[in-house]
Amino acid sequence: MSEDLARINALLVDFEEDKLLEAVRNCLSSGDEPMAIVEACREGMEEVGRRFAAGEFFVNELICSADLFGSVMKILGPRMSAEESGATKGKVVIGTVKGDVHDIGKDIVVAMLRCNGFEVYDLGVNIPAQQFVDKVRETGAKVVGLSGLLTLAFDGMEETVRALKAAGLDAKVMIGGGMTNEMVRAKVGADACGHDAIEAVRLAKSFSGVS
Amino acid sequence: MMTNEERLHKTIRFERTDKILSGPSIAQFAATYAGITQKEFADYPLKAEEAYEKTFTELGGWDVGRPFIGGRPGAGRGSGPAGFAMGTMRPGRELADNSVVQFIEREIMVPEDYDFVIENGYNALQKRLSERANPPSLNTPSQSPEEQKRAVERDTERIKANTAKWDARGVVRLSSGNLALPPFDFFSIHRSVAKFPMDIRRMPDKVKAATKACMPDIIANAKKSAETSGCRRVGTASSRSSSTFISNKQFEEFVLPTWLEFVWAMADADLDIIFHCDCDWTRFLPYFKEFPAKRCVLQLDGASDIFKAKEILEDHMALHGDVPAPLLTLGTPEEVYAYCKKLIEVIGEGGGFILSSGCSTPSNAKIGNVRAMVRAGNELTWV
Repeated sequence: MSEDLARINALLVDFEEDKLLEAVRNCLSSGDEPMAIVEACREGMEEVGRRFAAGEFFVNELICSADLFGSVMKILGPRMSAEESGATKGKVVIGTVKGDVHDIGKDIVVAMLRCNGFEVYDLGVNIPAQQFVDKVRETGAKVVGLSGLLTLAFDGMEETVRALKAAGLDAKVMIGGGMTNEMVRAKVGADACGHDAIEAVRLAKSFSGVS
Repeated sequence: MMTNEERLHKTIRFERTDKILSGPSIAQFAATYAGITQKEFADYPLKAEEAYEKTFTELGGWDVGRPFIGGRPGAGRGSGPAGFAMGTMRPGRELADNSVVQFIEREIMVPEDYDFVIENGYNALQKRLSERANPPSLNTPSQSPEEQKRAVERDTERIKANTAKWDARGVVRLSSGNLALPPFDFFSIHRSVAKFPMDIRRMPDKVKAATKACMPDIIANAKKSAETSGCRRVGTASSRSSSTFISNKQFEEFVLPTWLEFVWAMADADLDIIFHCDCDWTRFLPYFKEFPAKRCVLQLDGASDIFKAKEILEDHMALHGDVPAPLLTLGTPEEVYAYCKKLIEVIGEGGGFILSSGCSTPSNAKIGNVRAMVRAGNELTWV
């Protein structure tokens, strides 16, 4: 392991953008494997998650860390093999349900899931139940994320959960968004409610049986 | 008996009143109650006003609210909250007839605009962003300039008449209508929630300078709004500056200085201040003690802990809220009434409280639940 590779975790957690990207380039020049750099970044992301859970970091830190991770991946992407790029902890189908077009919370969750090694199928916003069903069937995803900011999203969430069950799909469903809570989870019949992006990652790992 | 204006004035100052005020925020729910679609509510101002009046009258009325003006932002029509250059999706157009207007955030502002606002001020930036979001070339008016002028005049007259009608009914206006955003929120909305956090890290000094440069115009706009409306209370609103999004350090560096400047300028001009604070503010509540005592109202939307707010702010700042939207949508009338009772007894203890929905009453709230909230506001609030 090069000296730069050992610094990557800390540079990401400290949001040292220029130094981080320079270290990544140095790592590649020194012959470090791209996947080793990705792993170092993921360790950094896990530390970001821990600090978020501990109340030391907040939503803006999640956004910044995802941004930095994305910048690193832009450098590494072309150097990674198809097999390396495809390595995944699990598949997640996610979208903002029908009736709601808000995507800020969903986009943060998508970014955090990807940074944590999930293959995410982001359907977008205002997504009808059938589209979730089709994508889960096509991909074999074991986790579905339903997002919504408005109370109007509750009906779309309930309809989607019902449609997934009716289609015989056994994917676990997590919901999230500004108005969601345990009362809403029970009403729509979801398996879990994530209060933030880090909880969504924890739930996705748990549902996928990975650490 | 006191008027609601007198009650509100005293409530803010924690003086004795004969009634705890009630003022649920009702807009799109009125369409649900009156049995018209959100599309009709958004597109036909007079129908929207009839729906609101029916809701107010049949549910039993309330004490505090803005004069309801059909077709204005907040009444279902999608021109964006005052001063925001945001894309909108509207019921019956981009969305289903019974959806509600929704705002789409995109990156309207670019990093170079920080230099522009430092040089030219907030109003110039606002104009620039509005034109960027809605280029004049895409807005070919269907009316001649004379017709447009007459339409504006008719609209102005309607607003005046409506305001006078609700004033005559004794429903007191909470604020002047102008909603001042901390520059931090304004930048976050227009740079986008994805880009702005990195700006703070990449160019903190420039962002800070830009926030400061906004203040003369923001203060002048609020004072002008108070003067024009005749209402001695001005509004300020935030969500992106909340403890959901940022650290104490960022709040102290990027938000608090400009908010203090704004609020103290309003207090010095003998204006009271209404804070509309969405998202979770619980961690930042102690900072609110730096604002002038007994001159402010803090509106919470159910995401913050209003009971903690009472504990921390005591009689420093009046509280407004916070029947949560999920409770109004999924709960029972008994649960809603019990929650209102708890608010009145705990938060209302010692004064300084206005019973309300947390932010807006959702369009799909159950009618029985909203009826229970309004009933609690009329039955349990007499002192």
